[in-house]
Amino acid sequence: MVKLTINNKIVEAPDGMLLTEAAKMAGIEIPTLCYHPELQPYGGCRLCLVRIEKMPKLQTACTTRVCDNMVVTTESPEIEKARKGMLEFVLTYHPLDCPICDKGGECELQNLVFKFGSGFRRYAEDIEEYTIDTNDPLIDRELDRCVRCLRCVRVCDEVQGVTNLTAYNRGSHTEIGPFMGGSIFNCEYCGSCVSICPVGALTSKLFKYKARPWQTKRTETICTYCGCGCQFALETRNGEVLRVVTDYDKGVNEGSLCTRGRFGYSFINNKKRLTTPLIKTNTKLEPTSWDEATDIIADRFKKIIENNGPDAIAGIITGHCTNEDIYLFQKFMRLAIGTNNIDSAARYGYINAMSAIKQVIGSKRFEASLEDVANADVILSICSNITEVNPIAGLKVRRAAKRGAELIAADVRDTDIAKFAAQNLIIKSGSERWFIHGLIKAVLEEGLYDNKVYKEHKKFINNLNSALKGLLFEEIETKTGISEKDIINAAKAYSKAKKGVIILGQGITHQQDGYKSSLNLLDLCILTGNIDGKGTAILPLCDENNEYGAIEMGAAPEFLPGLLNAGDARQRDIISKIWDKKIPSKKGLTMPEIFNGVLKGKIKALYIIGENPAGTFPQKSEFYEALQKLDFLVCQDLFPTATCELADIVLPASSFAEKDGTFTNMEGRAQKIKAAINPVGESRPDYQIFSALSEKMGYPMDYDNADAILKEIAQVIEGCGLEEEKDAIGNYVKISLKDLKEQYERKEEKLPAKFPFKLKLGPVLFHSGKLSGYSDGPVRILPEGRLKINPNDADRLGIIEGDRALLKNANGEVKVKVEITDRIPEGLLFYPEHFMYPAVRNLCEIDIDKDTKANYFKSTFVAVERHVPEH
Amino acid sequence: MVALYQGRRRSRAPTWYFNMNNILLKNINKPNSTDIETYLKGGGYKSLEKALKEYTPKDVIDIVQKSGLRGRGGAGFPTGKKWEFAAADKNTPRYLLCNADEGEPGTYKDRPIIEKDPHQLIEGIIISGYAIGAAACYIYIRGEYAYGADVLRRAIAQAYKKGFLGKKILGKKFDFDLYVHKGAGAYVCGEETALIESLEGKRGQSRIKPPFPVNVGVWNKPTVINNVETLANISHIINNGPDWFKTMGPEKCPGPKIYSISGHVNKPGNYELIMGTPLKDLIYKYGGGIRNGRNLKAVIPGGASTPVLKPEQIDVNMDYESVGAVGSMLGSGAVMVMDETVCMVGVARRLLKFFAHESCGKCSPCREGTHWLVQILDRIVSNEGKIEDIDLMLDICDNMRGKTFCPLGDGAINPVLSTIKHFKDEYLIHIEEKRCPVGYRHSEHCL
Repeated sequence: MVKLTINNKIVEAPDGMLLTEAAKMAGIEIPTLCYHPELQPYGGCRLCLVRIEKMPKLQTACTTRVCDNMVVTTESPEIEKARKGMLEFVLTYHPLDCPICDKGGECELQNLVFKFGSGFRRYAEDIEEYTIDTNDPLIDRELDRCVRCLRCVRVCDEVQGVTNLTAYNRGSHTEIGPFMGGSIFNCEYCGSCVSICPVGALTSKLFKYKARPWQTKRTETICTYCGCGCQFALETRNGEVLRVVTDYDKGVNEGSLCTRGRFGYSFINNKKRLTTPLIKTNTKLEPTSWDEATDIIADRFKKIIENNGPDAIAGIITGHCTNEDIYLFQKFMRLAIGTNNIDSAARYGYINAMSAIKQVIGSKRFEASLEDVANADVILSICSNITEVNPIAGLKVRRAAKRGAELIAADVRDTDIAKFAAQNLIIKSGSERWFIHGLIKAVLEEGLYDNKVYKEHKKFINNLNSALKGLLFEEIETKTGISEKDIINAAKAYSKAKKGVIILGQGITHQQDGYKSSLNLLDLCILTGNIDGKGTAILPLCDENNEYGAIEMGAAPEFLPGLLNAGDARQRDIISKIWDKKIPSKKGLTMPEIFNGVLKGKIKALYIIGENPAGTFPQKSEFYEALQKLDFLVCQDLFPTATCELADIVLPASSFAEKDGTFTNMEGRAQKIKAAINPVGESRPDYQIFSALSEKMGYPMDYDNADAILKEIAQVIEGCGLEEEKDAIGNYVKISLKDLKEQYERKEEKLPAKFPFKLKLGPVLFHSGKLSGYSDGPVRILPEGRLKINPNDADRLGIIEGDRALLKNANGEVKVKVEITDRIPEGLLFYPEHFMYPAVRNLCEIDIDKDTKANYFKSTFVAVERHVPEH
Repeated sequence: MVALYQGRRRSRAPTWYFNMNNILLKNINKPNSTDIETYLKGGGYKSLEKALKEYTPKDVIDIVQKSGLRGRGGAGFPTGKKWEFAAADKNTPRYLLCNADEGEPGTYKDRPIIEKDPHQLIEGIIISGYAIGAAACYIYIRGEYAYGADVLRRAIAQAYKKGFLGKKILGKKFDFDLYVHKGAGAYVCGEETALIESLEGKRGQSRIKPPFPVNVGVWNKPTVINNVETLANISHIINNGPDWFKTMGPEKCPGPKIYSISGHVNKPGNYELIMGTPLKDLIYKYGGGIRNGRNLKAVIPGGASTPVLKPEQIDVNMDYESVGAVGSMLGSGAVMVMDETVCMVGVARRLLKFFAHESCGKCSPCREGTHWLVQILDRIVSNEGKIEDIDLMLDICDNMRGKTFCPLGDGAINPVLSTIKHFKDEYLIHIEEKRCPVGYRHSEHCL
């Protein structure tokens, strides 16, 4: 801490702090324009000139660091004149079009001129013409308003690491634009430049002319697009969400957002939203009242329970619901219906990672947090494609890499994060397990394990050694395409880490043997001592924002709230006591088992919340068939989905913007959301629907609001500290050699001769699930999917950019547009999973995990040919 | 207005080098002067040998410090001091940058050294690199000196071949590399931090100081940046000792100095003289007096960014302190002479146009101020000025003075301020009588 004097006031500030910040702390305002706390000092606008004793000239407070005995004056006639002068310079060309400028009311320049400006303009010369470009789908560029603070350019480089924006030309001709020229930004569209622009030079097309900033209501809440759990505020007016804004110092995202978060809000007020309950009469869905709809549901459920028992009913809930919704849903299913047949979207793969973590570390929250990622010194990212799936988590990785952390990126194709990687390893698709085992083998053979671990768990290491005995580096090299040296280098880098984090992506968890692979990676953590609970472990990425919460709240047949074991009578009793009603002891069914149950006639009714199996499962699969076989199907959703069309009753649910509650992000951080607008139409928050239904089912669960549910959740979860989990790792390493060998089985993937290409479906940056497809912003940037194909493959098939390709396999054929890129290896194809049409998903088959019953349907084998259009 | 580019006629014998002092320009007129053999025959690379064999790096710094050599780029910072700061920084590798971005209008003093005697520069660079413990040196040469860059590249290749550059120079444990980097045409890149940014491949804009380049320079490593002429002096100081150097010129800034004389004199050219030669001598004795027997009207003593002097003020010695005392600056020593046919409003406008064109755009006072001044001067020269414009210009200059990010903006206002101070009557004639004071009926002559 140093002591300095500002305007005769003694101020204490940390050494090296910028003078602007120190003054702000002391409540002294120094005007700034180009300064932004998130960015490096720049000193361009010269508005913050102050007088510092012993300095010959006025100094800029935004570039000067405080030191002891500094004497600063921020108010004097000299400084006032300088400020006026600088503002005059900034304003020389600035068009005084505030009445039609979108920034009016929150414009930093407007505020400054109002406070410090001279009130009239002396500049009477010609005004130069600058680029006004409104061709970009989302961002309007009106450079006559630009004050050349370069905040946008700097945030793009320093914070986002994208370096897409640049300043070109010189002096007063300086203009801002995309580095590659042209009027389309063609970047990640994170919108940081729009958010940070102090004037109206960069504005959002989606918000344009919608409202003045003072007319909107601001509600702080959490984004629902992925597991990062970014904090933002919704600005609303007359029940409509108009835009998303952030504060640089709030939330895990620290003000950054991805394109989905920033521009993907308009699904909330989409006209296609379900607004009333619907009931199927004959073959058509007709509007009905809530009372009637819930009555019918309760009646039918009761009848089915009477005739077929409670286990003839099953429920599936999405990971987009709040913890309160999910908690109440599983309570409804377990107590009001009386079955454990309940599952969530986490069954698509996230459960693999969570089950593995519970197995090894226990139910304590032990994964790495986003902050740990940002502070890590070695990051091992495995098939994560993190910058596209979880962009803000990706940002932390980028930041760590920029800071000097060693990033090892392994994936089946060249992903964006590889740009920042010290070691970029592109492994052959289907050989992920060989790669992971190679890493462990390298650690064992090179003696890279932690000495303490070696002493404590000698037997475990010996077992691992024998489990991996048959595996040779030659085999690994032919399978993965990665040389022995590279694998050893990667293992060396990871094992020497003081703070090593493994980022586990969908490429592992959403695939066959995802559970085993997760366990293998945890073994690697244990071996290298990177699992001490101090932010050095494993971070599984989750796609839906509350998948973690879904599992933790007990929306899985094997788990009760608090990750307790539903199969264990003692653990069931803990919860039963709190609930005051016995939890059914019969083992519940997982998602694939539910659908199989339907086919076998065991399951008669299905209650689906926010999930759309008819739209996600391949049409030829048995599961799709199962949906049509159901006696009674209730669908609860925001939008009329393909599944809704098959439903007997459709209930309109409220989106996250219309309800209170909490989301738990992938680091296990529960965050509050607040209702920004009233529910759209007659829609209701999910928990209210469950409450209403439970009452009619004869087991009333009445809560005043979401907070009351949260209180109960807290009570339930508090009581689940388990004695036997105290030394979870110690228990885990006692695993027998036989089990361990099973964990290290590798299944060969056979490429069918007729279908020589492996097709993978996966997430892309601009979309998330199907929800973003209802939002204007993401659709404007990426309206349709394109099949990524290697140039050599395209050459061989005679396909050129802009062509359509015909994908064929036993399940059918699909025409898709093609994007030729060398970022995908030969023999592999990639298509975004978000688009309903063309229905590429129909080519896939459902694959069920042996261990966790997770169902995968995101990859298949196809033959490709050029589609010749008929004329 | 001012004949700046006489040296363009490269094919002819260079009649514009005048080596009155026979130190820096002594090899200029030798045949094949760029060849290393010619240079070696004239005793070249002897001082490098002497420095490496007889002196430790610290000795070299001490010698240079004792000699009192001050930077010839314009600011006049003591060279030895700068080296000492950089050498004291523990961070390695250290770098030496040679500033050959000779962009100041009227200045062409480095050009003969680069184009005609590159080995003198290279020798100076190697000794300097040895002194500060640099790993490499980059010569940042302005893009317009394409020929000079070629000459340097050839000379560097020769020096590598002879073992003066590369690994284990002269058998000593001293490795040193030398590269030529061509600028892309920005005046501001002559400013040291902008030069560093440009060299790193970034936009040519000045950096925040402190930290200074001696501690955090190119690639955030300690960096010394010296002008070509400064570095050319080094080998002579080593050869002849600091005391010899101190015998030349004033005590505070001794040594030889190349003055670039241009404009309306009979014999414009580069003159190597000692520091502190009277301006009057430069114009009348060496420059051969004013062209066509006309009268002197004004002199710019140190390049475009230095204030104009009136004929009454030319009784001044050309060194940093003396020129400063009469309200101008020595700058780069580029003397621009103007006779009575010159319209001073036109001069101010032309110079301002240069600065407005070269302003990098980082800070608002320079970016907008220079442009605004040009537009006002445009109007005055076109006889559309208003009497309030003079006060307005003075106020704009006042808002710029000392408030811009780098010295470019500070220098840009000098032509306006000094012409208004000394030649206000010409402004008034343009504004009130709507004609040019030197008799041009059409104002295009002033443009």
